Amino acid sequence: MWRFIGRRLIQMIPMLLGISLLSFLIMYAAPGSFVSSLKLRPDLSPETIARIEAQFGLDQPVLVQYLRWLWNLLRLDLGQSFTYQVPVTYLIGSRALNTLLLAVSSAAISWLLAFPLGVYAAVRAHTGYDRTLTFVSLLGLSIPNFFLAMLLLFAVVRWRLPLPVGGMTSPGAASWGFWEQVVDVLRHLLIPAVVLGTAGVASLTRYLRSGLLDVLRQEYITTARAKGLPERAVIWRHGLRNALNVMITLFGFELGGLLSGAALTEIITSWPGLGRLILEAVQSQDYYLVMGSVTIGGVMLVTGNLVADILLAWADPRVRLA
Amino acid sequence: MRWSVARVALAVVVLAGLWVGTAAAGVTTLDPEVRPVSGGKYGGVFRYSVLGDPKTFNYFLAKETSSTDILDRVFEGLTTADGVTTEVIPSLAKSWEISPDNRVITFHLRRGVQWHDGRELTADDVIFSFDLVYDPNIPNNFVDGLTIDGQPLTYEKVDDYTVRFTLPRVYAPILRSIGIPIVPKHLLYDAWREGRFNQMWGIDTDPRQIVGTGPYRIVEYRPGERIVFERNPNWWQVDQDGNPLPYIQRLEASIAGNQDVQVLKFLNNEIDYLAPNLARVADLELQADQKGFRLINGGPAFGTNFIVFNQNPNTVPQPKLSWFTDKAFRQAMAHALDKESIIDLAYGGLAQPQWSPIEAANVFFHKPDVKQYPYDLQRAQAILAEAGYRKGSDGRLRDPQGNVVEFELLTNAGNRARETIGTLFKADLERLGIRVNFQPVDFNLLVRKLSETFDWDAIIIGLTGGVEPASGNNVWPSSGGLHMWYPFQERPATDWEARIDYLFEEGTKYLDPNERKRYYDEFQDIVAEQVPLIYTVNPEAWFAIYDYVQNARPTAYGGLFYQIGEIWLER
Repeated sequence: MWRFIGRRLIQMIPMLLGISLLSFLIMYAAPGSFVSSLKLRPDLSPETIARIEAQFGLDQPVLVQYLRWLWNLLRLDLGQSFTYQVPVTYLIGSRALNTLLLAVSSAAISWLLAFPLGVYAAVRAHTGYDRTLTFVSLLGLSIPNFFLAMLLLFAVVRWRLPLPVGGMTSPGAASWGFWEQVVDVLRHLLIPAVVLGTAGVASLTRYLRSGLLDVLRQEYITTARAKGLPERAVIWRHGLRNALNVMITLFGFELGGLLSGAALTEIITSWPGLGRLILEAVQSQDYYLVMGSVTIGGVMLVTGNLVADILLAWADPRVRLA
Repeated sequence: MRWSVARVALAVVVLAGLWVGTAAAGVTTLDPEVRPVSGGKYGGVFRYSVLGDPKTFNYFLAKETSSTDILDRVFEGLTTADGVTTEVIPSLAKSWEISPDNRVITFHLRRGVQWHDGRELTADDVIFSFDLVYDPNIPNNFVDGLTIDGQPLTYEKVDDYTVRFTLPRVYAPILRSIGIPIVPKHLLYDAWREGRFNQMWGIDTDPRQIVGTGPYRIVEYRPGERIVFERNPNWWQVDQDGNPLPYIQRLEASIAGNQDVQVLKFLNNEIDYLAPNLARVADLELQADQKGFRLINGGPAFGTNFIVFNQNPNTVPQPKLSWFTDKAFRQAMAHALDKESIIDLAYGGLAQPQWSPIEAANVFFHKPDVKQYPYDLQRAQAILAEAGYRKGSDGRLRDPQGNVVEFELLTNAGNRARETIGTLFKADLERLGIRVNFQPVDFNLLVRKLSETFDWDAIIIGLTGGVEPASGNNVWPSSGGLHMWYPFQERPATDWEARIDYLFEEGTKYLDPNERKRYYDEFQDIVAEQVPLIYTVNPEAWFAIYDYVQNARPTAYGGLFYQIGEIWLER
């Protein structure tokens, strides 16, 4: 088991290098740079703009910039943001917890709903109930998150619901008691978490349903039924246990997406998360800020897969042997 | 003996302590500015919304309005501009004198102006701030406006409340550009000496450490959420009864990611004030009475949108170059631009046509009676025919040499107004027999074409505006880098460009605005005649404000915040 983990950890290194180099090159292939928008200002001379370019090292060749970035990374320095001129780690740190809170609560909503729904749909496959659920989840999949978020916000204003329109805390909340602050954040969390959570339910339900259906068609299930085991035991003990592999893999992916998730929803609901920060960084070509988040996203993705693989190996001995 | 030394020492310490104590408490504003307002109510929280996070609290590094809009509450300059008349008015300097040869300006600071930490502002802070401007290691936006023919100003402290500036030559725009934010020497000098100035006052700094002289100071910043300001009780402005301004205790700017959310927040009364997208104004007007707010038209906004044809002989091939450099061709194009439809389709009727390079918002310098090109396709056709362009039997326009007239028109994708302008213009030109390949492209690609490769036919783009005509110094003089149709000319390619070079040079040589206006009037006539840029329309600036906000008079130029100290809340 330890050798398995060790091997996976070493495999991560070239993968992360590849991810980072590719992102860097793609970003440079896009036309213009951070100073492009400054070039259209009637009051700034070309000399001043050149000075800004030099300050950020933008006058160096691409590869030099990449190697310089990589060298700093080895010393755990993600560099400075062009836009903010403070360390990238500070910027990401100031938003990461907010995004994590949103991601975890929306994941909780989607798993708690998807699990019973998916199992029920698989057991009652091809019945009216299953078809209704399929219809509803396809509907859920086809409504864009930002649109649902906009609809919910509009509903709050239209019907004067006692919910805030966006943000994460109320003004002045800093001086309130602990529990009041918790409730305040939860009230703000409700809309974005529901938007993202319901989006997750639809696809998770589909995966779980088809995973369980596959298992239920296996011969050992038929055997179990033939032996006269009660249906409940067939499904929960034999069926679900073996359908777990699909779930674990999905869980790994979800872990990887925890920090990168939900830019559009964050923007519509003014949730102060990473997604919004990074989207703005991409738009303004703030290279190091983008690279910082790509790196952290890459590490999360690779770790998520690793965790999933370890869980798989633990749940299913066949994986370990392979 | 020893005992008495101790006693003297003790007395000195006590006295020094007393003196420091009184000094700290004893800074009082001796030169207050009386504003024409009275009877305002103190207290309350004024809530508004901004689109993006501030990027820095260090004004010398700020490059976007998302930062400067925040910092303008906190920092002040020697001069500022009136939000209504756009004139230069006193700020930290209570007055100034100009020498008879117009080259030396002596500023008198208000005495007793306090930094937010209680220290007094003196001439040393002013000198320090100008040292920062001219430090080549600090890439700031102010240095270009304070450099005349490549030369910096020289400046000296006369006494604690007097600073004298000497210009290399008479340069009229200086009174405006000299109003840079003054920052506290006592907090930033050491960092500057040690080369750490560019790391100071980033957004990771506790905002309470950001010290200015303005009406408000920042007390809380939550990234992505809000910025909270608290009233400066020692500000130098007072109302007519001598009561200190500002009236409002706190300002809260919530950071919303987009304009739709801002509108919802306003309708939900989570904010008190909104500068809405023009497409929203009609809808808001319907709800105004019921919800208790009003809409105010702040007049046409600064800033321009225009169509420009490339006249650069180095990058534009024939026969396109001969069309684009032909004045008749450009005038015909101007007649083919349907400004009324642009106003209706892109701005919901809330805009005005622009004819002169200086917008109507620039009340003083704008010349209203320049040559105009009303929308008239027949007239456009007639002008083209007179210049030798003929429509063939296939319905396509040919130039005098028989080439089919066809070109590419670009704009930046995502700007709805510009996309509308392009679509309308393309349709009208097609009726003239000109095929236009209209394509919205990435903004940065457009900038690269304008500033590096110069390979384009026609572009729809805009520039930010301002009161001072000379701030178009990169655009109008033929050597300018933003002289888009043919930038970086070694010597002017045409007589009229040479004339504009001359007018822009001369226009800065007089301090009397009326004297200057002659030059800029002629400049406006030339541009209207030659149409190197075909101007489109100026949208109006609208504001929505709840009725309990008293004495708010927002303008397109100053927004609401030029008079933030004079507003109060009745709720």
